[in-house]
Amino acid sequence: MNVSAKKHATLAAILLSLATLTACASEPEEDPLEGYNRAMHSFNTTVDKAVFRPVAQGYRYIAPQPVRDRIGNFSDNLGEPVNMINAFLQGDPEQGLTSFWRFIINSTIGLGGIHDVATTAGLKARPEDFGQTLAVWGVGSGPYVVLPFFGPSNVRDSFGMVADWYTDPFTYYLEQDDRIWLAASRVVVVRERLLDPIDDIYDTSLDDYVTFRSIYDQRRNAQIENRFHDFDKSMAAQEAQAKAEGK
Amino acid sequence: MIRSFVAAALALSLTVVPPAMAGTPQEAQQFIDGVASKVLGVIKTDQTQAQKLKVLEGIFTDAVDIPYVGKYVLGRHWRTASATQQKDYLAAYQPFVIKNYAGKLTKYSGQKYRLKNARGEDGTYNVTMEIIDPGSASVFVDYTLREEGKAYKVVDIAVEGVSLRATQRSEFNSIVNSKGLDYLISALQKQAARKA
Repeated sequence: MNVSAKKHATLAAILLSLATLTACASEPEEDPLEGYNRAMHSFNTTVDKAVFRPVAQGYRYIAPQPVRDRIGNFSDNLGEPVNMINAFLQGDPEQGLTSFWRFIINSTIGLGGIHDVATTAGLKARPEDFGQTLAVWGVGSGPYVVLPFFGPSNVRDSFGMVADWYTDPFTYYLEQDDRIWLAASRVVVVRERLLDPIDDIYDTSLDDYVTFRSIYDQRRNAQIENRFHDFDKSMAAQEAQAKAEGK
Repeated sequence: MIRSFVAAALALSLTVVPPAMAGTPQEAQQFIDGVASKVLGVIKTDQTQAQKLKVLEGIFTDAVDIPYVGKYVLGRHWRTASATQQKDYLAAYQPFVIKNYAGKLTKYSGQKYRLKNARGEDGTYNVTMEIIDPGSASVFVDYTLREEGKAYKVVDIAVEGVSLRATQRSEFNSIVNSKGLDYLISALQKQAARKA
């Protein structure tokens, strides 16, 4: 009881300090925490080269592409409840229901999520998280922050990550140990997908800290706007218009 | 009668007014389509990887306005640079870009693509390419093009919302701010001289 109260007080303190930091949000190119961030980035780079990258390479070596696709689907499917919650919170019930049905269909017909039959049925995945939800609600990103082990983030998205952990039903549904193993295996899946792009950055960038920062900002903006999600829909509309104009 | 005459004259005058630029988004899209099929043609041949790379570098150099992008990514530091620095910078930037990006074209492994959503006006156009990979999610690449004379040139490539020139601009700015333009120029030269 006492421990739990202490935990909550700590959490509240973190949230409060995050809120204060977000309030003095800055331009994306400004980087008030650059000193700390650069130190953390080189720590992460060292850890990644020693642990995460080799593990991801090992996984790629052991599991051929079709197997990795199945595992990737399974891992993505477990993220669907959080996608759903956040789509609803963003005032997008259509996508919320899409996520809901994706989870139901893939968990059953898709054999526990290893087959993404929902996409074939026209229900397209759209990863959503609480950082994106806050952005939709008008919360600025706040300064760029490099988190230990997790890497590029900002104040808003760090807060979002904590919130996602607590709103994820699997946090309550699974035993603590299983939950942590699940999170760890998702890290491996994601790191394997990023093997080539991240190798590319280290290979070609003249200042990889800045490259990571810039890519993170741009990528998040595209995700928040769902820039590539409704592409086929907007294309269909465009083609219909062109036809109506008699082309 | 008079009214319809005036209306007709007005309509005519509107169509006769020459637009600032003669290009259209559709033309820009055709240009990208042409470049993409050239690239595919090269990849399908039986040449060695080194031979292919050579041809692809040529296609890349023709399609992209590298000096324009080079000036863009240097931003305000371009204007404060001396004439010699500007010359050295562009001379170093060209091989750096070709080395880092033209080679990526060889990684293309025969996925299908669709061009869509051509848009823009007054000499600047955007075309989106959806690279379709059966079994995984499509990748979207946005090309920004500039109309130059009678030709089109690519001035930005953005993969899934990440613009190469915006990323490079942040990177170069940070280097020039902390270490100066001459350091950047020598870093570009070193990087381009590296073995693949």
